[in-house]
Amino acid sequence: MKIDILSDERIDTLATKENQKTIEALIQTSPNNEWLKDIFRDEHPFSSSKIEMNDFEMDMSAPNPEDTDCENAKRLYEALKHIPESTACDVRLWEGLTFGKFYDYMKYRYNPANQKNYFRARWLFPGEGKKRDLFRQGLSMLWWYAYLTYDETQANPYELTEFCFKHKDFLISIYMRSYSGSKNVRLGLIQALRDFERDGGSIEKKEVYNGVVKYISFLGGAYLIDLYTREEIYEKAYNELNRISAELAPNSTKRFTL
Amino acid sequence: MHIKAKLYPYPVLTSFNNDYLDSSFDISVEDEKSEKEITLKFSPELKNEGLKALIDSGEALFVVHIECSYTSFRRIVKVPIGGASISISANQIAELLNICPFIVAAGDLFGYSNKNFNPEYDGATFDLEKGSIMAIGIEKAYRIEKEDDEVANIPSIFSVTEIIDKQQTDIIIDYTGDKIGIRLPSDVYRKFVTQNSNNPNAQPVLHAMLIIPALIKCLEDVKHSGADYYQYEERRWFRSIQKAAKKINLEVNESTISSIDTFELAEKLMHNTTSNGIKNLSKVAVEGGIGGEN
Repeated sequence: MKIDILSDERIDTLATKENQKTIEALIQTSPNNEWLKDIFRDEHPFSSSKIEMNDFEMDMSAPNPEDTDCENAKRLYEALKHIPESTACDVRLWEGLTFGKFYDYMKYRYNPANQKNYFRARWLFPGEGKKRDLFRQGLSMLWWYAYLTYDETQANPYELTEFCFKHKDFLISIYMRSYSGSKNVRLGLIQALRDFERDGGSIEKKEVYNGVVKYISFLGGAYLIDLYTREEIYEKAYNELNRISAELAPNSTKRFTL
Repeated sequence: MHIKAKLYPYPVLTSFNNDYLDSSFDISVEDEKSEKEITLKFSPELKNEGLKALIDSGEALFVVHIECSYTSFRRIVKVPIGGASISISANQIAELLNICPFIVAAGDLFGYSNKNFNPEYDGATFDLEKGSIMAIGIEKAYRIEKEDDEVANIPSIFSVTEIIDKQQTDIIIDYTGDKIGIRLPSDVYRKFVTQNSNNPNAQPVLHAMLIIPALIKCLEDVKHSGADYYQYEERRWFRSIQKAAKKINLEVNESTISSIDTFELAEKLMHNTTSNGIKNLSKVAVEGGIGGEN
């Protein structure tokens, strides 16, 4: 199927500050998205794009909708793995899916009745920074988190995705770091965390994952870390996790050193 | 990767410190854009015999760091002494591409010294680890504007939308985003859209009534923005205006904006739509244009 998108003007109409309350109310009170036809006085509020997608449905089975995030990130990425990065930044694509194909999912996951900020922050791209918006909007966030964590070298390419969705705070803490653009650095770091936990280490404390994320930033200030192989990043991150962990141990007398 | 003027625990050749004397480093970049890709040609320029010798022996490398933060694109390119060129697919990048040249240690480097070190480092040697930054060139930024985009197409920098709430009677102009948003009360919006799309004679009249004042308002704000001018260069509508102005031999930039007559510029950019609108008024009236729609 070809994905239906929304035009810039239509997105502007939905997102305009003066219209947000009205649109939010329509989402809450209408059983489906038919109201779009009335708003735009058009039987076909969407326009067809060139982007192909295998048809699929989102998982809406969990009583706590947040529990479906990882599974839905995998489903969405699997169906749209082929789109280039610049297309994955295109607001028209995500808003087309939000108000069209995945309207029911959006209501399930981000029902504006459940949280005041859901409509603005999760249905729309509120203009709080283009990258930040991409990693916050309900659907684009799923695609981009899967994109950043997908590892085709593993038997299960979503192994690191699954790990990251279990530790969302960590995921949030790396996406704005500029080194997250380097696949070697990003996957080496995530794998180190995953293995550290698998080997019995605890990454529950914020100081642990924040510490290692900051450590990689520190490395990036002194070295061109993109020159390091994934294995080298992994080793450095794993060693740092051991160091932080020992430091946080109840009877530790070690002091912070670089 | 944004390079700040920071201190390193060893001498680094940069334009923002004096760790080295009689030395300089940069990698010049020539770009060629097509619809599908951008080709970058790199040519290293190094004035420092010690670093040159390390490059020749393979102990140090010329490297260009290329990054598009928006699309999470980040790549390094090792550049041979004779230069190199690479192509990046337009699909991988958007908005802004940052390019920063470096010289880095290819592996661990023990006892590094350079005869051009600032005398303050008198006889000092340094042990550098693989990847250590030894020299930093000038960071360059390239704005990625897709050729098929709305750039230089003035009307499309406007987004005219409807305020659904019937109580709202004011027209609102919002230019904080990539387009100049003109929000019209519901009934006004309907008339505007009907006339604008169905009545070619009414179009310049409507533009003179709505688009020209909006454009003047925005340009006046840029004119008086002072230290905040840079914020406007981030917005696509303003860059489109700059590009369209260039086509009619007008420079719109930080140094010229204060002397620009904003009405004159708006009229030129919109192809004298006010004059055309006045000329068309009789046709609109005869044909029952404006106001003829229910």
